[in-house]
Amino acid sequence: MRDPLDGYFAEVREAAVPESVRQFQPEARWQRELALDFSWAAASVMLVLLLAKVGERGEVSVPQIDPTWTQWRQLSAELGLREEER
Amino acid sequence: MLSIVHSIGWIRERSERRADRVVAFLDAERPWIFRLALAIVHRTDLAEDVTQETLLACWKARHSVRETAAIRGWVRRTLVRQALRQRVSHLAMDGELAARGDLAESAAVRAVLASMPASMRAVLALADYERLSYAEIAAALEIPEGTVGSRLHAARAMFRARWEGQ
Repeated sequence: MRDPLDGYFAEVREAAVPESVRQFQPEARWQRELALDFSWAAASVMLVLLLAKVGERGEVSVPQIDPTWTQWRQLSAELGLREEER
Repeated sequence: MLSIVHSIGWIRERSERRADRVVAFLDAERPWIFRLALAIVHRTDLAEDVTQETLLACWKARHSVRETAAIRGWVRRTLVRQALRQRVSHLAMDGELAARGDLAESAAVRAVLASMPASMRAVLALADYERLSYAEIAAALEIPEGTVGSRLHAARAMFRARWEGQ
């Protein structure tokens, strides 16, 4: 009885080579990868610049609140609150 | 000064010549590369991927080859590295091999091989398909030569046990 591995590997030795392997061009693929890398790098730079610009414009100025006692009394007087309710 | 420029030109020319030989080898030996990949990964689609990645990796590194006599070993090492990265967990019935020869046995052998770890499949392919020496297998797998014998023995035993147990 023949070894199943021998029979299998004999088939592999005769396997047809796909057209995709015959036609494959490493240089063209490398150029595509390079172009893609460049696009990613360019997109990243654009994104960073965009975020920097948004950050520059988007500075929020928070109004300073100083609820001092005088202001509080004035406010409660305006609202008509009694002294004990203040 | 002129002699330095001349020497640099001579070195570059030699490097280009070696790179041309690598490219010529890669073009001529695609059937060998594809079939060795198939012997390790057992699926046509994965073997195509491994072949293309190997061709690309070798093409990129074509200037790094020092000895043109060692190109085959270098390409084989690159291929094995690429093949070991592939996951062969799912074994689909693919046309090329299944359509020829003894369908049932071929499919069964592939199923058993696919269930084995990649390093075991690789050592079987290098020993029984490529019929390489222990030294060549060690170089391809990047392992000590002393490890090859024990790994091959373990791989054959594992295949036999799974083959008989299925």
